[in-house]
Amino acid sequence: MNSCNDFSPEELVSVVAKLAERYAGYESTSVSYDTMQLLMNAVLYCINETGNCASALRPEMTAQEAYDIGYKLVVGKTHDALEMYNRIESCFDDYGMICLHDTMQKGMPEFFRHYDPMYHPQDTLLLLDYPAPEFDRTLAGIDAIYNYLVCIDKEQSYLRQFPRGSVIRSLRNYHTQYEQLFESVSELFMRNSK
Amino acid sequence: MNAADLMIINEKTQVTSIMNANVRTEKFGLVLSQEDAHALMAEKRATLLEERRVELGESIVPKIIDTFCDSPFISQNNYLQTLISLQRIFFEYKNEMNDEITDDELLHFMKEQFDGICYGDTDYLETTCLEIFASAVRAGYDGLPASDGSGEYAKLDPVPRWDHALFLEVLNELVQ
Repeated sequence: MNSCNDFSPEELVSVVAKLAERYAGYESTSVSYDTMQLLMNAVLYCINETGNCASALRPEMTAQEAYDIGYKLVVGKTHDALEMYNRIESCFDDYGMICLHDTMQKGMPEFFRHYDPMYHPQDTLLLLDYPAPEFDRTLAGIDAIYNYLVCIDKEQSYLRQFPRGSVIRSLRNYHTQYEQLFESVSELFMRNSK
Repeated sequence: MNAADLMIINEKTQVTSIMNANVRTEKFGLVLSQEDAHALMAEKRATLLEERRVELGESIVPKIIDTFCDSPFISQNNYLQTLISLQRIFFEYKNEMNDEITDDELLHFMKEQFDGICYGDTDYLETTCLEIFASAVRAGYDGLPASDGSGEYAKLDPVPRWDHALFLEVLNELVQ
């Protein structure tokens, strides 16, 4: 098994139907097409998660097994991302940049509060306005958030090697109201430090 | 096994469960033939397609039969046609209420109005009672979990219904 394409539509539909029963609280015998589509996306997301994890792959895996493993991987990655966020937060510095502050201090806690690995794992929920260097914008859901936090972590580690004052000075030299820009602190610093 | 095979097996199971319901409805003088069961299934397929909904396995039809079979407004003459209307209305209003209501709540509500307010008129049930109720549910009405769908319409009904005190007053006047 490498991806969702390895499973027949019937296999996938039976996984989605099981999830849909749970979604409806076992109190509804039918769901709308929109709900079914949303849950199909959730199942595909989790199965892809299994496909992307070499250690989780097994030959002759059923779609249900691939989904179950993928779901556990999504939950595990969410815990890892939260741990990483808390670690970054312990010595986080936004250097006065408003969009970095808002994304990390306001957005991220909301993400962890509202992220739903079971029914909406594919939702990123945040716009991630601050352009973290090397962030892969093609990702979605917890993959996107995890990757974003890795990028922020690297950027923070890099910036910590320099005195805070010199970073602020170079940002101010670039623009007197740099705080309102939607640009990466480290990229501006590298471009403008002499 | 492909999707077509699965659908055939599923449909056979559903026809069997509809036929099994005859054992429970016979005492009310209501019986469905194999053809009736197939007609019900065909109508349900068309309704699900029209309402853009998917059944998850178990069919709602036996539940509709069990809920409505003791209604004084259903006889063998209108049994099939009433079931076809009720299942269409059921799926229509699952959508209209944005799935904010469980199957049981909706069926309890439908049955109560069908017998009490509509006197067996499925048009009135669909275009008046459920329309008003769906608007309330969409607007955030949340009295359902406590009532399971029973006794809800009286709180929302804009039409003054039977007034017991007035009836007695008029009766007294007539007697005097």
